[in-house]
Amino acid sequence: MSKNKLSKVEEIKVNSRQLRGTLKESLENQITGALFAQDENLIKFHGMYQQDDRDRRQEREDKKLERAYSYMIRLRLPAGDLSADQWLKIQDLSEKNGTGIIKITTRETIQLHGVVKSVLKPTVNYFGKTMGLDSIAACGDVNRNVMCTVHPFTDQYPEVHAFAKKISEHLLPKTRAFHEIWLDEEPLHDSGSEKDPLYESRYLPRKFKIAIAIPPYNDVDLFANDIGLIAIIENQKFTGFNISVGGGMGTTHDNPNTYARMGSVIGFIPKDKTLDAAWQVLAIQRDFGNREDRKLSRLKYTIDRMGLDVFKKELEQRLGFSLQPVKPYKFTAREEQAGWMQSPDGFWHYTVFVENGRVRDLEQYSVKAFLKAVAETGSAQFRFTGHQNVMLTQISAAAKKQIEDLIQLHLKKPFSDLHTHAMACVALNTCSLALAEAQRYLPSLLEKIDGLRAKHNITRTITVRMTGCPNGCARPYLAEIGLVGKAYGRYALRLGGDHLGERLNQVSHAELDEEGILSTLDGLFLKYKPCADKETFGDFIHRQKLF
Amino acid sequence: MLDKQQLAELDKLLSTTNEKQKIWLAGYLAGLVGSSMPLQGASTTVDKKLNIYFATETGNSKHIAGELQKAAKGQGYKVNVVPFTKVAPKDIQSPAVFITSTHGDGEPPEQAKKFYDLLLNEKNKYQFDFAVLGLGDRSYKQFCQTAKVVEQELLRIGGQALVQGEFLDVDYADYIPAWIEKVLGGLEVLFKSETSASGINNVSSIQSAATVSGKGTSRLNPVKGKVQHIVNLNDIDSNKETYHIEISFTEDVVYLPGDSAGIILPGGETPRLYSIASALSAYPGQLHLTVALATHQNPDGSSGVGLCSGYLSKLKVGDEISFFIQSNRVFKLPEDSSKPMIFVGPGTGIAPFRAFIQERQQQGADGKNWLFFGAPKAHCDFLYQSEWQSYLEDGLLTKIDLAFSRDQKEKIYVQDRLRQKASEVKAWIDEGAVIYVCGSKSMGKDVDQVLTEILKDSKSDLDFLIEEGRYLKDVY
Repeated sequence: MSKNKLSKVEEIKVNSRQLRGTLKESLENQITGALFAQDENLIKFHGMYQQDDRDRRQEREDKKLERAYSYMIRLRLPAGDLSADQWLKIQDLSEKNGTGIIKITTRETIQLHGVVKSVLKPTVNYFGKTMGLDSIAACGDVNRNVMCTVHPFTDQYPEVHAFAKKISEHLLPKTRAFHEIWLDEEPLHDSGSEKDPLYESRYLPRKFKIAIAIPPYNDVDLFANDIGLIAIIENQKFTGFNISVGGGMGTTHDNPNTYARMGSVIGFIPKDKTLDAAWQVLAIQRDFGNREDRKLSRLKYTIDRMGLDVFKKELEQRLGFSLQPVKPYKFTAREEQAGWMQSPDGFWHYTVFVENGRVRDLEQYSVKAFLKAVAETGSAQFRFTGHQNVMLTQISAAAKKQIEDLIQLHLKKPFSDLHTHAMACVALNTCSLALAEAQRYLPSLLEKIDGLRAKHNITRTITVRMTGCPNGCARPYLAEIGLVGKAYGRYALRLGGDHLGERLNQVSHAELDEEGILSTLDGLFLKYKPCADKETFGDFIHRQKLF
Repeated sequence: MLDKQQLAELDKLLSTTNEKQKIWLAGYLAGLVGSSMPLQGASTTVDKKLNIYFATETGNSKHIAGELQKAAKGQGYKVNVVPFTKVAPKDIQSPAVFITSTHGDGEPPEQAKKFYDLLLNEKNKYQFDFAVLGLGDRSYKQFCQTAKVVEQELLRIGGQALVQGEFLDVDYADYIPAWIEKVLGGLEVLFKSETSASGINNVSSIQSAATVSGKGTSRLNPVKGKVQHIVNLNDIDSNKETYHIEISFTEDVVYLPGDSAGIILPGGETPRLYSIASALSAYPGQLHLTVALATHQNPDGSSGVGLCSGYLSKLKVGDEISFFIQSNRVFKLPEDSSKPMIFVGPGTGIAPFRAFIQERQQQGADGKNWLFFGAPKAHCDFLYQSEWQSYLEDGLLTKIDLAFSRDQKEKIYVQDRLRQKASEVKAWIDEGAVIYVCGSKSMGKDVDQVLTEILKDSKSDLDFLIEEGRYLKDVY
């Protein structure tokens, strides 16, 4: 691989003294609410993004003020678990130092928005000191938050679920930068040059995502991840994982070299080899990934460049053993099971729909107040899902009624299935990459699509996902209807994905406005209606080879 | 001594004369007397001397003292000019002229306070001749109160008036030449010395003590301007509203960085003054203001806004506004543009420094500039942030230190930042830096304190800086 011209980010990483950069100085510099330029990249590794309120740029300029800078903090929550007490503290903190609206992400964690620089350190410090939580590697060129299915129906669930935390910790960067900068830890003797056998000093070429699924549930959208681990339970025993590699969303408009890819299942590994296997896949990506053009850096491109067979051989060589053949598995559902469910240990669990993951009170749906009330009972814990929802977990039979009463009190509004299965990323007004609206617009568009369904009498549900840019954080490439922002008010329309997350969709129209989207769907629904009781909309489009 | 008839005839004549004629007469008589005096020899010529004591806030009293000094010197006087801060009643040298302004509420200006208090409490009597000149503003009830009290008290402790006390309004400049003539006339009578008519006439060649050229020089001749831009500089989360107002005018108005604009209120109330936040050199035909909306609680619990700031905050683009320039001779950029400057200007105190920096930029000055600014929260109260950022980037602003009081647990103010940067501040002072402070009086006092601490073991202490004109304050 030629090393002509590494991307600028590579230089920043290597010269950062293991991710310290000038973050301390940036935080102390009061003339601006922003960081010094190079620290913008580094702070991502610490789980934060520098953002500004894009809606207010002109007004701020008129007031002779710089942009309204603030920070998003994303927590590291393997498998999305959070205690009720932690929830209450975080909600309070969000009110005090952020926007007050916590966002549940598409990867089983939460983020706070609107934290200004002067309170950034106190906020992160508070997470660490009072809750034992951190945001390490929640963003940046590292392994991100590890997902695990939220459905606790099997006896083996606890054992599989525990791997999320194990993998997260096994793949954490070794640098103490986070602890020094945010938690006031005294620098150790090797501060700035910590040995990191996995990440070295250059880290990965790009982000890395890992998810664990227990069939038949694919609520984590396993094949969208760089590593997907499909738990295999044989004879009531959890024996190991089928390993899938090379999934990744992210494309760039008008760049045909970029594409969404689903993970390829390459073999089975015994459970005690899981950590090694994950480690080595990262190591291969570290050594072979494209560091010149970040648009082509993800593992998916590395694998396609090398060839899947070559990749597999490399992995087996580094592991010192061959992968076993893929064991049978089957997914039958992707969305979270709704309502109440019980795990084998007798506890009850309840999935709460949170529209676009935004914890705020709506008319007839005061989910923010609801979650606070639930947390205050102490009768439930929280688990964030891969669909921006939250599952209330570990509810005893005795406490079930109390929670049910709160549900009846607060969560009255009936959202259609189209709403409850949809996802949207944040996009405007805070994401600097957004080309178009997502979470602020999708609900109203869904109303209109529901109108079309009603018009054509289509009752079968459809997965709709919208993102403000082609990075695809809400996984629009695996939806039946994907809408990828291209310009303000205009989206690429993608159709034909399946319902389970095992087939990518294709572009049907490169750029449409709302009218175009609706008239296109209107026409397609008309054609689909006769088949609606037999197959999903996505399968229909795919089968008809319409695009 | 004149006999009764002579005195009666003289009084009759005098009753037909006006002030100017009386002065001329004095000179005429002096000339008559003087011409018969031997030009040299063992005459008992009294040394002609004059002591001028001044208390100035914006430099006008000092300037007038200078004009009187020049004129007196031209008449052969040895003149001492001394600020009130350096004299006590027991030290008054005769003959003495006292020049002082008065604060709006009848209070003596900062510089006069010490002398004023000593004077009021003086129990002894002294023999001396004196004259008082007061500068004030007739729109205030206690017009020239300080000067009037000073005259009264000087008489009480035994002083003799050379001439009657003169109390001038904001258009004082027009009356200074005549007053100088009057004083010199009185002095001549005192010294019975030679003077020529031409000498007296020299007075008329004294430049008008006008503080600025052009129009809009006082409350009495305001000019009209138009609001061309107005914006609230504070952002959403702030509990303050600070308006940046740009006023354009077509008249020949002249001002310098450090001067203030007096705003004429539509209701005829006393004009309010605001430091001008722009330099003519950068924005010809304009002046910018930085106006904080003053708020207060009414007795009934409702909240109200300041009279003038409320009026200004509601202005719209295109509105007409009446104003005049109140010059401040003291609060000025150093003549030497390579001199380092330190600005301490929290909140709206930043206004004149915006003008200073603009002026320095236009001059291409290479002097270092260091700004200390404070406000509650960086995110929404950092007045003119983007301008300061670009000045810092360009290097025009050398250093900036910020104190956002509400952005951390403990409250931090500009005074604290000064203290933290003590050694560097001291180094700048040793390099000749001029320190400017603009803002609230209490902040000014705190800065006095901090600087005194900083300069404790230094060769230049605060008094030295003040004497050198290197510690200047515009506080309110």
